[in-house]
Amino acid sequence: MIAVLQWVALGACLFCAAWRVPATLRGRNTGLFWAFVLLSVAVGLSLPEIYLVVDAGLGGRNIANLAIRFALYAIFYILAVKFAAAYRSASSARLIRGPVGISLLALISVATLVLFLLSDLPSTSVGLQSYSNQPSVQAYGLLGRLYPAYAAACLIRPTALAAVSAGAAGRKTAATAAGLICSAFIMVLLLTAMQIAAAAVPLVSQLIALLSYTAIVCMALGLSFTWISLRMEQRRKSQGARAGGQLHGWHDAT
Amino acid sequence: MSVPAKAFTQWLHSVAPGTSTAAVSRLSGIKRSTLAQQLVRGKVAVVTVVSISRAFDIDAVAALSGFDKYYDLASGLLPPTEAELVSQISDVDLLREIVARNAIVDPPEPAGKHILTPMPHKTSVRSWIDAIDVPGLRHTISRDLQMAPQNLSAQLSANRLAPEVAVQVARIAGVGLTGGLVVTGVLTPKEGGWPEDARGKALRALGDTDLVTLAAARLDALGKALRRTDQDNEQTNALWENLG
Repeated sequence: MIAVLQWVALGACLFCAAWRVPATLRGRNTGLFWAFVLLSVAVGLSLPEIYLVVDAGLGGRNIANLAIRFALYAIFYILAVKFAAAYRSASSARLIRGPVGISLLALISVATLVLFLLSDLPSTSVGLQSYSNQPSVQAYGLLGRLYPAYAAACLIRPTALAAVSAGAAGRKTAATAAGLICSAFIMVLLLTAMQIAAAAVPLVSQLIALLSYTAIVCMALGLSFTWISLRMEQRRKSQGARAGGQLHGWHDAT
Repeated sequence: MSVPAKAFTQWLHSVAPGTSTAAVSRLSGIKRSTLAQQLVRGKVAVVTVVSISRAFDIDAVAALSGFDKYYDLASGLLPPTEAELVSQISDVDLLREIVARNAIVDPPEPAGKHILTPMPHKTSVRSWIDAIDVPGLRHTISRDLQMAPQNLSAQLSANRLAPEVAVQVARIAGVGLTGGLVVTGVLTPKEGGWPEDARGKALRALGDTDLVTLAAARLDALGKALRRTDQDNEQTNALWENLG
């Protein structure tokens, strides 16, 4: 079940990355392209079939796992900056790009690296499962969730407000997009709470995995819907421009 | 919203015996596929009944009264109230009237003389609801028709009102039952029993104070709607700049 979801999530990320290629070539919002490339890398590396091959190539010392962590930090930073600006939340933008957000990211990055080096990880293991009894590995696992959770927490409110206001304005696609993105962030927050509370329980860890990949699928879907709604909006505008002059705006408003 | 297809077919048979569906759609200007789809779904739109009535020169109100949901439409015919009439004068017509009344020399056109914009105007539905307002009207509508209040306000914002809601609103408010169908443009004023130039007479009878107050309220509402559109556009631009 989870394996299927992982492949679906990987497919969705690759699809979104491919969708961004033309815009990226034109130099429009290249960050989104890279976010989806990195997300594809992170999801790909969480699949044993890919992880074992890649990590063997990197020396078999689980550096691929470290790559997943840093990819996630970069993804969440890029997406958080983009969403804070796109949904016009000055306070979220401050929390992500301001001194607090940047120092938190730097601190967590350094701590992640230190804990990784402190751990004894002689041979390759998917998700570092063979080493889960080491305290430093447990701390490393938990730490990896903190920055994504922080970024997600900053964005739940603006995306939820956007979903509600787009819904009230009768823009169903835009509302669905913001709603999916908001639910992805809620899932990230939820799974971090679960990880802190009871990661050791097998059922809970399964639930965490389920939430992680569902959140990724929601994010990819949410952005796809955003692109569709923007296209619809553009088409509507260009038709409106053809249909009439200044008074046309009045017609729309009333 | 609609009338049952079965009742519609019976009605159609009585008004146009032996006429094929294709001929009916051609005569009434309804797309053949639209009519076929409505029949298949079992729900025929009120506008379809009205268009066919027009094509066969039948009184549309009488035709609609033949259907259960609208049984009281013909018997509930009343002349529009002054408030209803005034509510159906467009913003621009109100402003022109103010200008005309205040022009001291060489008025561009004498007060109460210019031809009013044909009904319905851009905010006709909300203006009508405001004009016939009885306490708790919106609450009663949503309860009677089991319709969410936000659904009703969405319809009003889009200057729409489903025919069955429009008639129910008139029933609750105790005004002529065709009023809602006239202000939504389903029926012409003439079909709905609104006397010719009734709006013009109502406008001329409107005192200066009421006229200015009404125009101010309309402009206020227009300003709010424009501001909402501006905010919507800003949000779309921000999305486009960052995620497009």
